Amino acid sequence: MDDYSELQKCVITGKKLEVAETTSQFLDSGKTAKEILDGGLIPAMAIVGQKFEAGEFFIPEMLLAARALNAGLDILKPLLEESDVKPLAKVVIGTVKGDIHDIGKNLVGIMLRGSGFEVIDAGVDVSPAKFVELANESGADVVGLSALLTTTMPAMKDTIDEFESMGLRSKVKIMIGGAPVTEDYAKTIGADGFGRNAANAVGLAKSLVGG
Amino acid sequence: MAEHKITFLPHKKSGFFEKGISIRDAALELGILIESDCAGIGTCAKCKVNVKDGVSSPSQVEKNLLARHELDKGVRLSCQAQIAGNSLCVIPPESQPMAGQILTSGMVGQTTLDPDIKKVLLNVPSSRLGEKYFDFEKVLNLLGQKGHLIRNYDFQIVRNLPELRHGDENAFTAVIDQEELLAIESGDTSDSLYGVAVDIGTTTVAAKLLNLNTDEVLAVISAANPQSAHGADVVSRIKYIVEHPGGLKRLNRLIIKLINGLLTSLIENAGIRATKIYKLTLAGNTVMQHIALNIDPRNLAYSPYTPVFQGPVTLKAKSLGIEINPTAAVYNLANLACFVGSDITAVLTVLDLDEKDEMQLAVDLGTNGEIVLGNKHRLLCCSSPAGPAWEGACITWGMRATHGAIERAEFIDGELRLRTIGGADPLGICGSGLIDLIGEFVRAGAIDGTGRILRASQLQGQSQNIFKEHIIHGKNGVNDIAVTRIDENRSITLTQNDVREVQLAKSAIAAGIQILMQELNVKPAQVSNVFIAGAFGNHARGQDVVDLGIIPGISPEKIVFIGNAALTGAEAVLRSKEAREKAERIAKKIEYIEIADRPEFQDNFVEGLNFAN
Repeated sequence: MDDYSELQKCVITGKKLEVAETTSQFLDSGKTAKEILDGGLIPAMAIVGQKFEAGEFFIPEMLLAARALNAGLDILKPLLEESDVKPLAKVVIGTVKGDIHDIGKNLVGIMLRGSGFEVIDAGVDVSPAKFVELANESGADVVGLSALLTTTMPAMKDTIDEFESMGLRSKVKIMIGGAPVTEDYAKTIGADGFGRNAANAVGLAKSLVGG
Repeated sequence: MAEHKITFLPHKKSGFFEKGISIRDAALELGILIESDCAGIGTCAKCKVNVKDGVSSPSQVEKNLLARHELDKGVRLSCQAQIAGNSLCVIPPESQPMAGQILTSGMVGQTTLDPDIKKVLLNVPSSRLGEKYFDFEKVLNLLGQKGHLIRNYDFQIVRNLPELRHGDENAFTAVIDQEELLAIESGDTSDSLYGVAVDIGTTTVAAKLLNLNTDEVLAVISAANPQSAHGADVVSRIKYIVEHPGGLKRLNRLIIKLINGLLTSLIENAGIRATKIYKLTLAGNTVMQHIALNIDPRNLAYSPYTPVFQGPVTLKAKSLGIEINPTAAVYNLANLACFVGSDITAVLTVLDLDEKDEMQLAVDLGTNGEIVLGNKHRLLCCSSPAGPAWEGACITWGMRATHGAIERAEFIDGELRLRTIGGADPLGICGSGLIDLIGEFVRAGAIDGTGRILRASQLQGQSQNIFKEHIIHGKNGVNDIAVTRIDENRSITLTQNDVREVQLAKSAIAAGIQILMQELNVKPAQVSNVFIAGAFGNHARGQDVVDLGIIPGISPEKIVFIGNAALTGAEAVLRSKEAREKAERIAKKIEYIEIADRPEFQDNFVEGLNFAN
């Protein structure tokens, strides 16, 4: 049993129960959690990301796929920890202070998780100090800042400044995103990268951690 | 200092500017507006101009947003291209904001004419030697005898009084507004009493001149809000104010200048003098109103989103720079909440949501969708961030409801028939055309329930032959819809991403409505009427609203489109004391529900993204 195409299809089309069932079958047949993750779940989410970026998939389809993904991950996670498989990297994500929109941020979280990252979701209206605290205690490699309003974009700079003033800026890579955010803005405020959308954020996070 | 000359066509206006100033800013200095949705941050690509020499080389932003053949032809983004030498800049028609179609139809408040503003004819004989009354007190006394209690007046009226008496003339006309004496005029001028109603929309400003003696509408006009050059939506405008010293003053001046321009057209049209206008009523969203009154709106953009004032408030025309009679009263309708402005107060004034036992729903489809649900016992409102799709922004071929916009689309006898505003050649698609087009393709199954445009080969049955010729290959393997050809090389299209934008916009509205319904424990079937206001086109169809799932679970015959009802409401308040009092009652009574921080909002939003079938 080496063919993961059926499992991938179930993730892509959001079939939660089938994903759980197929994942268990692969384990029974002797596959390791890491093999199933790398061969089935991660490639499936990569396809979901491509379809989303093209406009073929929309938010509901992406959320369904995420639910299906989680059904598989829930089974694999304890086994991965047992066998000491490290995540690709740790990422703290959150919507910046003054802003309470989180659908975009959640989509980024889904895509990162589905690509093998460990994601710590700080929630919405997150203060610069909170970002620093979470990044510090989790030992995060990457911090992702989201803003949906042009008026809350300055809070991204405040957050970067907070990392700077706490002497932790060199420990993390900071990426930003959200409807009004631009590549230029990322450069202006000294962020390490800008993600156009949830799918794009994955490639960005990988490049930031040198993966 | 090197100064470079730039000339704009077709305006034939020139000016001298320093190196490094953007084309867009230079144009604005000369009073020329260039289309923009993003406040010049380089994301919307709507400010295209043609300029070859004397400008900086294309920026990375331009290389990303413009096609190679455009760059080769000298097409540039005016917010990016900077002056570097003498240049000639052509602004193509699609980059020039145009005066909007007059969106003036709407429900008319059937109150009788009884304005707050009144003229009262007084006979004030000269005092005899030894008489104890003074001229001014005599006026107040006479007004009191006629039942007009005066509590306020500007002392300047008293200073002006001696000049008003000509010879043996004893006739004077007092101009009063509620309990304020605005002016005393010499002689009998009671045959002329005029007022103006204004609605300041984020994209369109509309105004109406009324004869308040005869109840006639003398002239109506509307134009694009020139603040649009600093951002398409209210949040971009606030950002402009926060980031630019003097930004508030600049935006305030732009809107006051525009109102004065509209007033000039109105009075020229009607053949009256500006000084004869003693009353102006003003409605608008909260941000627009703050800016028009020169109040910093920045708190509206950050959680917890607090407006500086609610109102209603009456100010002197001269204190606002509005060029009518300087002592005229400018009545600003009350705001309801942060993003539920006095435009909605005005809309509610011409409806009867606050008077009936049955549940009724009113929705203003704008960049911020404003929603009101309730009856005479309880009235709830909320605001939902729908985005600018209804007004045509962020849609590939989107445009406001102006000349040349496709406002109606229908398949008749297997052919896609389009109707444009003004019957002109199609230039783009406005809100009503957008939902009409999507509605037609959704009903035919050419757009599936998830919003995906199907491949021509996936279409089934009858629809295949009719629709397949409109399905074309888009970018990245998705399908787009070709609407109509505009010349040899270009077609107006509706792309997959445009459909996605509409899904976001409609779902935000639907999710807001659902929360108000849950709060009042009301089922869609219990709602007796749905009123849809907004500048998104007056010719939308109820069936589209249902099929797209904009208003969930409602039957189409309950839906009534009321156009720019905000202006109608401002007009009602101008015409009638009763309507003004109703507006003030509603502002006190209505409850605001913050929906963005409710967990069920996000759930409803995601569930509502699909189309109804």
